[in-house]
Order: sequence, then C-alpha cells, then structure tokens
Amino acid sequence: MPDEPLVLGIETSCDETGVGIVRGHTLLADALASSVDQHARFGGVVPEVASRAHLEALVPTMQRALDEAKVTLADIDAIAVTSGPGLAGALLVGVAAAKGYALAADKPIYGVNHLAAHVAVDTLEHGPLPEPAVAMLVSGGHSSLLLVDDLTNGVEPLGATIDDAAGEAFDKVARLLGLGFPGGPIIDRTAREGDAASIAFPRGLTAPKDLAAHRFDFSFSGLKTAVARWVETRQRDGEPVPVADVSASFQEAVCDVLTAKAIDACLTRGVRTLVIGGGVAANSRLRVLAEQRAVKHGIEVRVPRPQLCTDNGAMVAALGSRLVAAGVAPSRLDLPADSAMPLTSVSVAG
Amino acid sequence: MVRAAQPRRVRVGDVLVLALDTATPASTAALVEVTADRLTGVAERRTVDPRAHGEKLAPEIAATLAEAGARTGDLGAIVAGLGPGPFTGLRVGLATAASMGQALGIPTYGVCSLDGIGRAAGPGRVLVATDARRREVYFATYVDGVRVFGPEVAKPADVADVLGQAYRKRTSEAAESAALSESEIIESATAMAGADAARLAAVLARAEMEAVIAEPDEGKDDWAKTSRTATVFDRAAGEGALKYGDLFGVPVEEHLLYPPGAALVALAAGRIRSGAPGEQLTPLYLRRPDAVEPGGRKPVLT
Ligand SMILES: [Zn+2]
Repeated sequence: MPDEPLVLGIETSCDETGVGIVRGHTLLADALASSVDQHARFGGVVPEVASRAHLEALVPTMQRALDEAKVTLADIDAIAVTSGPGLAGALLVGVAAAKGYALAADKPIYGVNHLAAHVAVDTLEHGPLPEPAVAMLVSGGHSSLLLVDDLTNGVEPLGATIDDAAGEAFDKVARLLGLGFPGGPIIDRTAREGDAASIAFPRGLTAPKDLAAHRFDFSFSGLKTAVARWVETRQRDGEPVPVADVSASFQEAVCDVLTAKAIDACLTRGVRTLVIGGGVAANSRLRVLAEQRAVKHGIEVRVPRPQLCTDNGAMVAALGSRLVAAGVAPSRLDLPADSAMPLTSVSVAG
Repeated sequence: MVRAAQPRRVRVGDVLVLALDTATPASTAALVEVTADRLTGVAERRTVDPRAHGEKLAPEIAATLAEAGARTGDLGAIVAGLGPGPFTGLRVGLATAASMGQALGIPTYGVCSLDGIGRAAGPGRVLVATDARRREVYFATYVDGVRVFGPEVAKPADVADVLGQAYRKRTSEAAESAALSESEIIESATAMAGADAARLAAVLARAEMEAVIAEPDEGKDDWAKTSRTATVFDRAAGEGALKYGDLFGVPVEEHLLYPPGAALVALAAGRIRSGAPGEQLTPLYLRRPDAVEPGGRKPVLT
C-alpha cells in the first residue's frame, strides 16, 4: 500500500547504533552497528565508549539503511528517534543526528520511548497488535511488565525489576563462570548441554509475602548471589564446577519467574496476548516455556525474531509509523533526550 | 503583518556556509557567505547553557536560516568545531553537522574550536583556555591568530609548566639546527615543522633575547609562574581563561569567551574555496574514556 507512511527510525540508547526503515508494518531496512566488542573487556557497557562509537557509526549506518531500502531521505515521511530511556550521552548522539536529518530534509521528527518501541517492533513480524496486550520487556537494561491498551497513547507499567535487569544477571553469571560477554547467548548455548533440574536456585519475589507487595516485580540479585555461592562452595571443596548444569539451572530460574509473572499478569487483567521483547527474548528456553504455559490458558505469545528483539532501528521506525498513522503530532526541534523517560509518554509531545 | 522572507541570491562561486560549535557551554550556529576574496557574516545565534546543547542547537540552526531567508538546500558546506570540549555537548554539534552534511550531500569540515577563539583574538600572543571540567582547562597558545602550542588539557596551575617545558624543548631543537640569527631560526623551523613552528621560533628568538623563559625561581614559585606565562602570552581568551584568570596573570578578553562562527569558517576558507573533499568529523577528545577493566570478583563466601 503506497499510502502507508514511510518512516525512518534511529536507535542509540545503549551500545547498538540502529537505523531502520519501514512502510506501514513492512520492514524495508534494518542496519545495525554494534560496539559490543569494545565493551567486552570491561564486562559491561561503558557509556562513553558507546557514545563515541555511535558518533562514528551513525552516518555509515544511515547510508546502509537507505541503500537497503532503496529510498532517499527525500522519500521519507517522518523520522523517529529514541529519546529515552537509556544512556544520556548515547541518546543525545542519536537525537542530535535525527534533528540534523529532519532539518536538512525538512521532515517531521518524533522522539519516541525505547520500551514502547520494543513492543511496536512485533507488528513488523506479526501484523497489528491485538490490544489490550501484556508486554514483557527483558534485556540488559530493563525488565518490565506492561499493559498496553493503545500503544500510541501510553503504556501502564505493571511491574519491573527491583534490582538487576534480567540480561544483567545473565552477564554476571556468565562472567562468574568464565564464559565471556555478553552473557545471554553464551549461557543459552551452554545450558543446552546441562540439566536444568540439577540445582534448585531461588526464584526471586515469588514467596507469598513478596507476591503481596511485588506481584509483577522481579528481583535477580539474590539469584546471582546464590549462583556465586554455589560455585564458590564447589571450588572451595576442590570439586569441578559443572558449568553446563549451573547455566541451565540458572537460566531455568530466570525463565520460570519471568513467564509465571507474565502469564499471571495476562490472567489478572483478562488479556489474551503476550508480547515479549528485549535481548533476553532471544533466549530459547524463555520462548519455549512462555509458549508452553500460555497455551494452557488460551493466551497467544508473540515474540519477534531475535534480530528484532535486541535493540535496533526498525523498532523505532515501527513505533514512528504507528504514531504517524494515528495522527499523533510530531515533536519539536528542541525535544530533549530523557534518560529516564517514563512509559506514560510514548512520544515527546509537540 | 507577516512578511515572507526574501529568497537569498547567491552568486555562482559563492558558498553559504553553516558553522556549528558546541565545544564550550555555548551552542553556536552561524551562517557565513564565503566568496573568492572575503567572508561575510550573515546571521549568528548562540545560547550559553552547558547542559542544553541537545535542545538548543537545532532550533538555533532553524532560526539562523529563517533570519537569513535561507533554506538548508542553499547551504554549500558545513564547518564544525571539533573541540576539545566536554564530550557529551561536543558530540551534539558534530552529530548534527555530520547528519546535515550527509542529508544535503555537501562537505563537512572540522576545525579546532580553540583555533576559532585564537583566530578571533587577532594579533599578539594569546592563551586560549576553555573549561574542561574536573578543574582542568583545554588550552592552546596563538601568535597572531595561528596556533603554536596545543591543544592540551591540564590543571590551570600547571599550564605555565606545560608551556615552559614545551617552549624550552622547541628552543633547544631550533638552536641546535640553526644559527642564532632570527631569520635563520625561522628558516630551519619552517623546514622542520611548517609555518606555525616558524612563527614560534620568531617569538622564541625575541623571547630569548629578553631572557623571558627563565628557570623556575625557587621559593618564589607562584610569582615565577605568573611572570613566565605573562611573557609567553600577553592576553588570554576563552571562558576557561575567565574562570581561572587569576592564575594566568594576564588580561582576559571578556568579549571573546566562545568560538565565533565567522572565525571557524575562516579557518576552513581555503578548503571551502578550493572545493576540497569533506572529512569525517572526529572529536578532539584528548582524554580516554573513564573505564576500568574489572579486577577479580569479590567472593560472596566469607
Ligand atoms: Zn532495549
């Protein structure tokens, strides 16, 4: 449909420089440059290193996206950019560049919410999102459960992690086991050789008294410490550490809590659609377990393919496209980057 | 009554240049017309707020264009200050310049932001210092608008020592390879390191005669530092000079705290006029990212 808006999205909230182009719900280009290798030796994302990499990567990544979509900036109907939440300095590079493109090509600009974009990206794979839906976003930077009534209008936070993000727990446990960074994909791979039932690691915030106060919240800090204690005890006793079993049991503990709370949120709010996004959504065990549990309750689970789950420009473009289609007013040229942008604002008001 | 802006008439060969700088607390956007024989400032906007580059710069560019009755399509080149400056703000200007250059298909040229101030300071020996935060300054020295030392980053109180060491080193290098007459020093310095070194050598030759680059005077350290710096430059400019002016012991040009757009464009005028290819805009960081590799993990068993 040529009438659907052609929208470009720019993402720089963490360590991925992404430029995506969509027409309506159709993905035309998804160019990505990652600085993940530069952070590996620090065991986590270093904000200044990420910001430097964004500035270097933006122009070439934009060029690749335009070439891939076979369009020029003049063809674009609107430019969307992640304006928060995320690393302040990293966000600013993308926002400044987006303004430069918008100014030069005389296009409207939308400063959009990164978390809402994680939800919107699913439309590129599975078409329009049935609303209301529950969204679970799990990555190195965020772990939250959201109720989405109308994505263009705001999102209701149901719960979030009270300490570490889920992805962060994967990174820390991977480091503890000497497996490298980032931890998510490595643990996923290592766990396939292990027995997930071999070690009973704790499930955070699932005891009755915790559920009363934190029904939809997560906690992964205690789990991480429990894994460290278990591993150190083995080492102290001079016994080998069964890395695959530890990985599998740890992963099971994370996925068990995440899926149980997500399904509970759907049932409590009478919602029949669960969208999962963020880097941890690429985890193979999380996908399987969510599907197994949802099917029992007639809930549909939507998980975009792994490349769309991690941070990328396409998700920003997808949300921008949705906003343009809904007739939401664009942001102004003085739109700020907001590292703590709340979920109540899906885009920066014009 | 609203009057439509008159369309700008630009002669063939003339280039309308957008200058951007966010290396200091100022966000600056300026339009300068570059012709074969002159530069003409068309419009300039500046907001001074160290935390607002991301918000202020783009509207300033739009307002500057509107004031000049120009559209982005009229631009022929972009000049951007590469710093040094606090990184987060600095990158705003460079990301904006790079994206506009790409979208418009016009060249982008980078210049040292301190050079913009040094150039605008005009004749004489000038220290340019801007605030590097963490109680340090970015600085460089200029003779008749041309940089002879820097850019560097140091504590304000150490600027004199850094300059003194550098100048002594260059003096001895120049003295070894040249006769004592000033003209020969200039000749050899030019061969060694180009025109900037030649100008420096000229200054140093004069300075040596006056015995101004004295050894530190034991017991009178502060006095000695002040008197030494005062002879290597006789004025200072830049907001860092204003902030730490007492340490440098020379008058501060209070009207020249931030890089003026026209001066930035002047620094790239040769490249603009010759239609030189643009360059990727890489910040003059001068500092490495603060990042420490993790040491051993703290055990949880006690
Ligand atoms: Zn994310």
